[in-house]
Formats: sequence, C-alpha cells, structure tokens
Amino acid sequence: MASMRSTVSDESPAPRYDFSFSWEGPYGHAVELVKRLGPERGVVIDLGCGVGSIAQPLLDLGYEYVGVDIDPIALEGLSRRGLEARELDLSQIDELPERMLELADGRHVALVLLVDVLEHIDQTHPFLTAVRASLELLGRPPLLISVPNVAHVDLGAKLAFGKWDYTPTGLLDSTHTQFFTCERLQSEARACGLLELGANDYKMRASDQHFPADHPALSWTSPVAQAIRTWRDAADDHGETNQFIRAFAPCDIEPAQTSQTTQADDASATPLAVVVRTQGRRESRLRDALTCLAAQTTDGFEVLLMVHTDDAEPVLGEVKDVVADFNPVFSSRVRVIHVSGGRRARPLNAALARIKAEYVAFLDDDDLVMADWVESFVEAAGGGAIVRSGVAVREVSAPEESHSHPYLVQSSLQFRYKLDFDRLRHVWENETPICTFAVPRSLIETLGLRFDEELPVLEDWDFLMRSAAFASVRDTRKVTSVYQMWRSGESSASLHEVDVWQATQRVLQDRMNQRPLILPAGSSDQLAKMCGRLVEGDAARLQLEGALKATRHEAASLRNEARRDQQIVAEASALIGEFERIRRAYDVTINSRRWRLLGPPARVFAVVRRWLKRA
Amino acid sequence: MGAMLANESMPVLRVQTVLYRHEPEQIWRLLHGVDAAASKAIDAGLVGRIEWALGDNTESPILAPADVSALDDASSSALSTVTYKHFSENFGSSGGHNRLAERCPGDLLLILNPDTYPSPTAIVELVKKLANPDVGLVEARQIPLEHPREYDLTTGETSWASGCCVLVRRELFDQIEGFDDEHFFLHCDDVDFSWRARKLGHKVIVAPQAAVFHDKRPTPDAAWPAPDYELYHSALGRLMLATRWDRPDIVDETIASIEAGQSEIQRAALAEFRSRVTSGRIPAPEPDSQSVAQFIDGEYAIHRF
Repeated sequence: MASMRSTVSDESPAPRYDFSFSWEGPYGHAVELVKRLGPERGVVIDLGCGVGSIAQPLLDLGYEYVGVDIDPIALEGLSRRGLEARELDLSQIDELPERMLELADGRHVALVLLVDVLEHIDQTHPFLTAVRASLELLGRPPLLISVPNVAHVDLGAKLAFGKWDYTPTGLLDSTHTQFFTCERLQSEARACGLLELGANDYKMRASDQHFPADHPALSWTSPVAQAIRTWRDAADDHGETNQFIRAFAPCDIEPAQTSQTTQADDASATPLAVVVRTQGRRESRLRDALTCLAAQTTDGFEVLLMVHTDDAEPVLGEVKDVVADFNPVFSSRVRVIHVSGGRRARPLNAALARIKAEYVAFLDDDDLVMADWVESFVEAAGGGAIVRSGVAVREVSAPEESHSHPYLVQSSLQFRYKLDFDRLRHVWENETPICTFAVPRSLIETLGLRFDEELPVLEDWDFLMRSAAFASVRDTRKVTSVYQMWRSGESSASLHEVDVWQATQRVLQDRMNQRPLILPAGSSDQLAKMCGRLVEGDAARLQLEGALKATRHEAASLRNEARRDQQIVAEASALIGEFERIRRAYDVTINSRRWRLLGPPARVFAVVRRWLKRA
Repeated sequence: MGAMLANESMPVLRVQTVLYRHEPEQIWRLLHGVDAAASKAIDAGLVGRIEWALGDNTESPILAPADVSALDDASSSALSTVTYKHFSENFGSSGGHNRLAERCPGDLLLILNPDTYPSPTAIVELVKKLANPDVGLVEARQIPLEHPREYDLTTGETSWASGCCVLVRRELFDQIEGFDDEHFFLHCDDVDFSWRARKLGHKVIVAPQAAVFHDKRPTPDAAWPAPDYELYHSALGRLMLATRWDRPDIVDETIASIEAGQSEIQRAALAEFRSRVTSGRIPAPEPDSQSVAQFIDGEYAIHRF
C-alpha cells in the first residue's frame, strides 16, 4: 500500500498515515521478506518511518528498531510507544551517510528500510546513491524498498480512457513525485550498485484505483477490460502488483545505466537474425539449408545455428565442420550454439535470449528458402509489424540409408496456404509454417515472448498467434520458402503421431478461446460474410432436412403400402396354396381306385338320403 | 589472388559461367560459393588447379578490369585465376560456353549458371562421380527446387543433364564439339549435348550429394514466370531438338500447339523455325536417335512429379 510517511521537509504540513499492520497487507509482506532473508540480529533503521507501522513485528523478530522521520508528531508517537525515534531530513542527501552513521552509534545495523518513501523523493538517483553510500559506511546491510507500482493494470486501463485520478493515498497518492515500474526500480537500484536479493510483492487484483467499478476499462465482464488485462499479463507478471517489495544488497557490480539512458535505438543492429534449428543428424540436409542462406541476395543477417542434442560431441564438431566449409563471408556470420534437453522449442528459446538483431526469423534444417527470403523480410520489416511470406509445400520422403540423398522429393510444389495472413483461419489451423515469418525483437522483448516448451508440436503456431495478438502482420506476398512435408523419416510431421497433432491443435484452440480475440479493421466484413455463409448454409440445411423428412415420410408410407401389398400377396398365396392342396387332394381322391369303385354308389346313396330327409 | 597450386599429376578444373545482364553483386556472391567449393576440392586432393572463366554476352561489359582484378584478389588460393571475357555479340549460353572453352587448359569443365551458388561439397561430389569412366556428364542436384526429371536412385543415371551445373570431361566436350550453338541458343542445348554424349556410350548421371542453389522463384499465383526470350527460345529449341533427334511427329505436334495457342512470342519462334527450314539451317537428323532421345508428355525424360 502506498502511503506518504513524513520524510522530507515541506512547507505544507504533510498528512500522516496510520495504517495498521496486517500480515496480509504490504507491511506484512515486507516483514515476511525480512523473515525470509533473515539478516543477523541488530538494528533496523526505518527511514521515513511515519507512525512506525512495522516496528512491533520487527521487534518481535528480535531486531532493535530505530524510526527515522522529519515529522515531530510522528516521532513523538514512536517515543510514546517506547521506540527509538530520530529526526532526519532525507532531502539533505549530502549529510545522509554521516547522519546514518551517527544514529547507528556503533551498533550492528541489520537492515535499512525505505518503505513508502522513494516515491516521495524528487530525485531518485542521487538519493539512492546517498543511501548506497550510507550502507557502505554501515557495513553493507541489506536495503528493503517498498514502492507502489504505477504499472498496475487498473492505472493503465483508466489511462487508456483518459483518466488519471489522483487520490489522497494509494497508487496515485497526490504527493508522489516519482513513479515506479518493476523495470525502473531494478534499473535505478542497479545503477546505484544495489543487487536484488529477494522479492515479496504485494498484489491486488482490484487496486484502490479500481473505480468506478463499472467503467468499461475496469468492469470484470467488459471485453475491453478483459483484453487490457490479457495484454498487461503478456507484458510481465506485475499487472496486479500493487506494491513492489524488494530487498537489495550493496555490492561492487559495475553500475549499469538506468532505463532512461538506454532508450536510444541501436542503429548498428543487424536487420535480421535467422535461427536455424538442427539435431545434426543429416549433414546433407543442414548443408542444403545453409547453402540456401549463403545464396541470399543480401548479407544483412546473422545465423544462430542451434544444435539440439543431448551429447555435444561428436555432433557439434560435425556441424561446425559443415559451417566451416562455407566461404568466410557467410560462415563468419554463423554462430553455432549447443542446446541440450527439452523439447522442440528449447533451442528456439535459447536463441531468442541471444538475439540482438532487429528481427528474428526461423528455419528448420529440412526447410529450404529462395534467394530473396531474407531480402523480402527485411524490405517489409518495420513499424513493429510481424512480417510474413508465402510458402510452397512439397512432399518428401527419407531415402534408404544406403542412399546419400538428403530427401526424396515426391511431389511438385503445392501452394496450399494463402498469401494474406488470415487471423480467423489461423484460429482454426496454422497456415504460417515457422520458416515463413519474422518477428521484431522489440515485440519479443516487450512481451517477453518465448515458445512454449511444453508443446510437443505446433509451437510455431502458438508463438505466432500470441505474437500476432499484439502486432500487425505484414505480408510480403512473395513465395520465398519451401516447407517439406515428410511422408516418412525424421521430422516433426512423421515423428509425431497424427493424434498428437490433433490433440495439440485442440489444446491451442482452447487456449486461444480463453483470450479475447482482437481483430483488425476489415475483419467485420470478413466475419459478416462468414456468418452470412453459415446462415445460408443453415437455411439450406433446414430446407434439406425438411425435404429429407418429407421424403422419409413418403418412403415410410410406401413401405407400409408395400408391406400391406406383400401381406395380401402372402394371404393370396396362402389361399392359392390351400386351394392347390385341396385341388390336389380332390384329384387324388377322384382318381383313386376306391373312389372309382365306391364314388357312384355313394352319390346314389346320398341322393336317396336327401330324398328320405325331405320326405 | 589465388596462388598457382598446380599439381601436374592431378586434373585441372575449369569452371565456366556465361553472363547476360547480371548484376555485379550476383557475380560476387557466386564467387564466394565457387571459391569455397573449389577449396574443398583442392583440399580433398581431387583436382590440382581450378580456374574460373566468365564470359559476358551483355551489350556493355558488366565488369571493368578493376572489378575482375578485385574478384581475382578476393578469391582464395583454391581459385588459381578468375578471368573475364566480354564477347563482341550475344552468342547465347551455348555459344558463350563454346567460346570460353576454346584453347583453354583444363581436364574437366564445370558448366555453371550465374544464378547459382554451389554448396561447399558440390565440386568434390561431382568430381568423385566422374571418376567412373562410364560416366560422361555429372549434374548437381538443384535446390531449393529440384528438377523433376527421373533418375536412378542407385546409379543416378538419367536422360539428360541440365546445364545449370554440370561437370564434363574436357575430352568428351571436345569429342562432341561442345554445345551445338549453331542450332541452339539458350534452351535445349543441354538436352542435345547430353544425348550426344549418351549416343557415344557415356552415361549422364545426377549426383544428389552435390547440391547447387539455383535462384528460381515462383510467383504468388503459383506460376513460373518466364520472360519472353525464354518462351521464344524454349519453343525454338524444342523444334530444333525434335528435328535433330528425328521426331517429325513432335515437330508437327509442337507446331500445331503453337498455332493453336495465343502466344505471339511462340509464333515468332515458329516463324524463325520455318525460315531456318527454308534456308536449310536446321540440324540433320541423327541416325539411330531413338536409343537415347526421349520425348514424353512435352518433356525430355520421365518426370517424377
């Protein structure tokens, strides 16, 4: 929690803060950090202590406490609590080391605190330099700094909508004169010879600046707010950090430049770094890929050849030999780097950590590129845009071991991927193989972008989509590479079963679904057309379903009729059969010897009997 | 400048490249590729000396004498010399190579396109394959776009070798009097050259181990753009090739196809062919041509894809 604890002389009476201590709050986080670091028992000097909110827990830990402030009322309050209280004007930085030495009075100083102080100091660097000098005199005790985070997502979200609300206390306390991000705090500390020892930052999902809560930039259900939080989370881990609570050790490191002095662009940076990923299994494939690079129409690129193998030798030596065979004009621009462990993305991340060029592109050793691959990227680069080129696909297979072919081409070129980057289609599947895009280093650094090393496949798709969420994609509209689809052999496509690809595809689709999808202007029309086609498709489907239903109904009726007809036919057949049986029996009877002998008398007898009956 | 490292007992290799309106940057890039491949071959002890000869068909010389000196200076000791000759007229690819090969030293000739970049092991692998006395021509495998022509996966044997990057014994080159530059200017000269070599009993093979980058670029609409002069010479070359290799049916078929088509350029090629027929400037049919010549689906070999 940011406060202003009376620290410097001011003509106007400074407000005093009496924040009570809680282990869950920022003070508690500060004391937890002290416990974790466990400096040897001694005096804790609390510079700008105000009411001494963390005095008691420190005393409870066995430290002596010395509260230092310029506010006499605050000091009086400390004294009343039986705490040692000293008056000091922190704005008098020239006197600071000597005064600190005096108040230590020969005692061992365990720790110096700057809690809610630095943001009130007009000139950060001179002040921290003086504090650093004081620490030197005091035997180099650690320094604990607690400052509010001006890059909390609530502040950024509101600022995007033109709001910057000062408040009496909190992140935008109206008495703050300096504002800190994580990067700035670390940079300022390092510039004064302070090395970070540990951190126990205090986070608040909704800060004191989370007002009005129904503002579209803040509302939990607002797509804008969700997008802003997604973007903020991509930049670093401090979107919800309310207070940086860090411990530093004075050290002899070479003071580094502050962030303010490193903003100038490095005009001499190489335009493009090409990261080539190889396992060094087939020299001939690697040689092909490198030959394509050596033949580029421009030399304005460097190559990071990442050799991904657990055992460096003999593979690393063999790869270096392959590189050394090339002309020094090219080979001098190739850095061979060994990477072990991890999955497919490990070497890519190892390369990203080393990139100095303005852009970075990627190539697997079984991909081949045209002469203008680099030139096309470089020409289209700039403005922070991701650059994307077209690609031709062909099928290849691995030859038998006895053959020395690097691969056997099995198909002519196929142009299955669209030349224009289509964000919507990319939500479904990747149409941008790893050899077809280049990403600006600034984007990688800003977002801390890395490939996901957990993914067995499709790490390029994931990386591209996370990158493209923050940058435009500029198409060169040139086909500059050949992506080889393996029918068999050692490649990602053949080494990994189809179900692994499909499962990973679903995982990535699900991940994308959890993030807001930002689409550039023009996408609405595309979406409308897609929806139109879906609606038309639905209507056509309904119509077809209706027709199908009617047809089925008619078919059922016909079947019933047929069944009835069959029944009649069966019954008729049965009757005919019975008739035939009777007729055959009749014939047998009529033609029998017995009938021939007894039939006529029997008929006479029957006539006589009927006559007698009537009579 | 390359030093003379001649080992008299080992063959001398002459690399030949014919230029036409190419940029100096492209020549420099090619130098880097040729130089590295030459170094590897020299180090392997396969050849004693390697020269690089450039012939220029362009109207005005691409390279000034100082440029040639700079190229020569920049090359390593593996390339003993880099020479450049500006021709008085455009002799085409076949005529350029024939003129470069005249009265020059060398046991082996490497015909190399200017829009290429040999891999470092290309020359080594080509020379190794030519050690087989049955083999007359060895062609490199083109990357990134491999030629679809079929070849035997074990022996590498194929119908013909592309003139993009092909190694031939000097003796054989002389025996068949080089490329037929009287009848072929730009296209089909290599097919004709290969078939004449095969007719003499020499095998034509692909060496997949020898990769050469060939700067070919498809257009975004997946087409292969061919400039007018290529359309012209491929049509004319086909008619000449079918005439030479005694396939009047292919000649008729090609003429019918051109007449049915819409290409003015190809019609111009047909007119030129007819003019040559009238004036007798067509090749005489080769006897027993069927033993080597292949006209299959518009190509000169079975294609794998």
